[in-house]
Amino acid sequence: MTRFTKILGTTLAVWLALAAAAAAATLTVSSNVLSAGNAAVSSCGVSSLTASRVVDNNGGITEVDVASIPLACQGQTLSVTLADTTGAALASYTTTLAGCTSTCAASFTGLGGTISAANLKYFSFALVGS
Amino acid sequence: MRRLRPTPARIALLLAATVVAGLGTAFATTLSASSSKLWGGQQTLTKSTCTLNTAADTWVDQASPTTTHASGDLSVSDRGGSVREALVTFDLSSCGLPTTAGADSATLTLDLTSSTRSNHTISVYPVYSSWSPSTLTWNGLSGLTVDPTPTTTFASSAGTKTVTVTAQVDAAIKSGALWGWVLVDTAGPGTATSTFASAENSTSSRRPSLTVSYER
Repeated sequence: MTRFTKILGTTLAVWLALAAAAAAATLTVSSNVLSAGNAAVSSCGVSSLTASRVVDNNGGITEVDVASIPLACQGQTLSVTLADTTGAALASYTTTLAGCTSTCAASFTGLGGTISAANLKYFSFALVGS
Repeated sequence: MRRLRPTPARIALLLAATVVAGLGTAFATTLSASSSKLWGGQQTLTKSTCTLNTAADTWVDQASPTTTHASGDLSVSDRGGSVREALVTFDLSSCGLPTTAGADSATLTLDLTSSTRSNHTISVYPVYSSWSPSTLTWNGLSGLTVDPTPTTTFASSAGTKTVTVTAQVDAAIKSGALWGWVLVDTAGPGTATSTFASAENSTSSRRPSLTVSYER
């Protein structure tokens, strides 16, 4: 093995090690995106969220409210998806958390009552910030 | 092309450049990761039904404005000088629902056992302030907060009457208080007196009931 080949091999080994480190960081990001369970990965301190909805007299949803969101989440984007028993999305609403006091809250109003509360099985939440 | 000789200085320079460039790549990726804060979660709703058969009910009479009628069947009348109105409510707390729960549907069932006329209109108005069967009188009725718009109306013919009260019960779950409804004879030829089975009726199936399908 020539001296040049040894140098080239060493250089490649260093590149591969650093690329692996970069790839590991990328994988961590991706796994956070995909973890839709209740594990908290956000730095704004959310461990779980609870939503409630308001209905009209026909049982149609007219409002969705999410309360008790940590103050540290102010400025982040909250998305709430309503899903039926099969997990199919019935509707999705998004807002930027603002005007928080001791905690943040989001209220989606004027929803029209077109979605029956009886069909609602899941609230799915996503908080995205920068 | 001129071939560079791999002197120790050149080797060291190449290795240093490689390390710096590689660290830069890794650090940039790390920055990208920490700049995007992400959280996802899901809330699964539990569906169930609660049926309340023990109503708190009474009726009040214009002709005896200071008398209570906490026991016996409920009387509703538009007879001049002796107007009668009936009130009924339920204790939602026995359903054990948190204030974050909600009603998917709610049905109030009443049994109109008899009426002197079947073509009068009975209107059902939501009540938004507290009252007690043991103390409410005709004079006390004016102190209650009653919705000016009826939830529904039905004819004064004998039989079972089902009233959809989803919105009011949903709101009551969230506020923690349900103050029920007042039944008023609001229209019809001549005068009529209608009788509804109360919580004290000897036939339990005729008593007022409230069925709530809820999520929590």
